[in-house]
Amino acid sequence: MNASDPQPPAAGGANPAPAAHRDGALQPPVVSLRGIRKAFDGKTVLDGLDLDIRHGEFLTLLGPSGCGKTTVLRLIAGFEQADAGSIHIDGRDVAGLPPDARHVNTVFQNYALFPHLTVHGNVAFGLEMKKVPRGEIDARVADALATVQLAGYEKRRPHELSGGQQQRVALARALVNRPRVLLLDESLSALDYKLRKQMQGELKALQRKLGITFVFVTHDQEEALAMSDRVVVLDAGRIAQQGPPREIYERPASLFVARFVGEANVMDGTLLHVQAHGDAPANCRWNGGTQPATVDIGGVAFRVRAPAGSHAGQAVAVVVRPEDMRVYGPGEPLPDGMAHFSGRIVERTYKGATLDSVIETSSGLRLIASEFFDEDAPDFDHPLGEPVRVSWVADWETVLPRDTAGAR
Amino acid sequence: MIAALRVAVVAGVLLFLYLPLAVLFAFSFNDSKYSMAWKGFTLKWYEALAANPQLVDAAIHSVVLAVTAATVATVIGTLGAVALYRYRFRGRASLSGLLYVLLLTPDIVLAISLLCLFVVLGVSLGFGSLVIAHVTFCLPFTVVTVYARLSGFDPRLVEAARDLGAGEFTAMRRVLLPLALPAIVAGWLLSFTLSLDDVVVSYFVSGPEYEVLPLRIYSMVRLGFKPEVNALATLLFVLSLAIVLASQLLLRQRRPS
Ligand SMILES: Nc1ncnc2c1ncn2[C@@H]1O[C@H](COP(=O)(O)OP(=O)(O)OP(=O)(O)O)[C@@H](O)[C@H]1O
Ligand SMILES: [Mg+2]
Repeated sequence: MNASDPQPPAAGGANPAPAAHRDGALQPPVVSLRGIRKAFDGKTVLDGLDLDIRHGEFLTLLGPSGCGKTTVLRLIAGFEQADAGSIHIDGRDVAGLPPDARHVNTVFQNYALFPHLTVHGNVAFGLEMKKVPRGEIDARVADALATVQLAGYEKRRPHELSGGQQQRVALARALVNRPRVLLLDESLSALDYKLRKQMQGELKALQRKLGITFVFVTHDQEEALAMSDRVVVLDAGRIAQQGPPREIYERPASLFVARFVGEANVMDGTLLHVQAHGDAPANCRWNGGTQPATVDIGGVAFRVRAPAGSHAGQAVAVVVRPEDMRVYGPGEPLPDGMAHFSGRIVERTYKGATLDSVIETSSGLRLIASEFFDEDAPDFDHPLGEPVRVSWVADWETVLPRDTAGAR
Repeated sequence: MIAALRVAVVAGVLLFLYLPLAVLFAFSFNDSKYSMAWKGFTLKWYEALAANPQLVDAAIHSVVLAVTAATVATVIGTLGAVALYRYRFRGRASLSGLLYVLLLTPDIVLAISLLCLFVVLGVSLGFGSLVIAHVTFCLPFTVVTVYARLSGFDPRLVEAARDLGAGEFTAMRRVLLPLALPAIVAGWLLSFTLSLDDVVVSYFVSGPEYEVLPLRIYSMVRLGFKPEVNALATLLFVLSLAIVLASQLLLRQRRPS
């Protein structure tokens, strides 16, 4: 396909035409889910899910237990059939296609390694099914095991391996088939903290190196933010928000996302005044579609940026991350004219890199502030009961309308 | 004191359990036809056994029947266990419940109902009716044995095989079957033993032209005590013991976790 190709740059999602666009951004999605509905025993699990998975991306499905993450993977892999909607893999409708006829492979949560086969036998299984010649099987198995740093373990049985090693075998067993998409269901959750961190890095590096599309499922928000190109937050079978990790964290679209991804102070307030339009300050994290406004929270008026279309008198929730909170002790001067709450420290937790304090304001709010030790304040401390003033970095809040916030 | 008591109790229990077998074992080598006293060692009862064509015939019949019934029961039972393990279908719960009912049904009830059935259907009593009857009482054992082993394995294993490109049948053959094999063999051995020493059911459903060993022995003993029977019983015991040991070994084989 050359540059003078007359075809319009149709959005991949709207037009899943197979092989029409082979270059870069115009490539159609590898997997495309449209209006997927799935119920078990009359209980709706997925409710009209639309999702496009782009080639080579590391996509994470994030959500609380039971929100339907595994079900999405099982639908893509072919272990379940959707009640309604369509799934296209590489532009081909896979309705009714059994798992063995789909170009995707799964790394199961508990690995599901074949206990009666050796490591070699496990990894070779998929190639044997495809009737690949023996010599090539051996070469590719050796290659896959080297990729996951398990060369020399060919003759072991799964039960003779540690959890991390089993995890790598499961990965090699899937990767050796060179799938278009690799589905990973909570693949790291059975590992201990340190190994999990290590495998997160390795998995990400592997994905970059091989260029295979990864669809990763987790309920660990930290893991999702650390690994993904794109995070899809699921809430009860619907997409609550999707976007790059940073956007999910810094611009939660709903209270559910704000609370589920990271910690958040959620303060109820009422908009006092909404300015028609204005230029966002330079340090504002986001300025698309917002309006300067004043919000009353427990009798204190703060200047915030409210979503477009807000009006005075509207009930809103103001969300601020603990690390964006600022705490001023009795002796510390407050920047000029900064709106703040007064309160006292009711809890403090030393976390190593940060000091987490819980402040109870005079209006009865409980706020969490996470402060870093740095060269300016290597040994600050807030004794319990200390009277403090709290505020947050200007414009680093997210204002959400109360009605959508009440959804969950 | 306590230790001595413990030894005494254990010895007492063992004596109670195994004395009859020991007596049988000893008398099969006793050189005396009627007396209960020890008259010296002999193998002549074993020779007499080999020279009794009726008995040898019955023994062959029994073994053929046991092999056939065990094989049929194992094949059907394995398929049934795989179906129970792998598929969720209507009536699945009642099916497994019914299997346990069959497991607990007294032989005599089973025997009479089978006889009724054969009479109603006009099935002539003989090898065929015996096979059907023996398969019936062996089947629950094979299903339960194989199912118990399968249910210890991650249900995702078959899915993993499918995911890697195996069709449903290949996934069963390459994954479920090797995993279930020890239980399949154990189920076969169990069925073989059950069939070999069944008296009650066989008594009701066998015909004159296909006599099985336990019934032959029974009629021999009824007409008077024969030392050959001791020899035969000893042989049967040794055979059963070997089979039970084999099945125990297979079942106990450590499950890779
Ligand atoms: N085979 C099934 N039969 C009946 N209900 C099912 C089945 N599979 C899933 N469900 C139900 O569907 C819902 C979503 O399940 P799913 O496994 O997709 O959740 P999940 O997001 O993966 O959760 P987790 O984080 O706990 O793994 C749950 O309420 C679950 O009970
Ligand atoms: Mg799950």
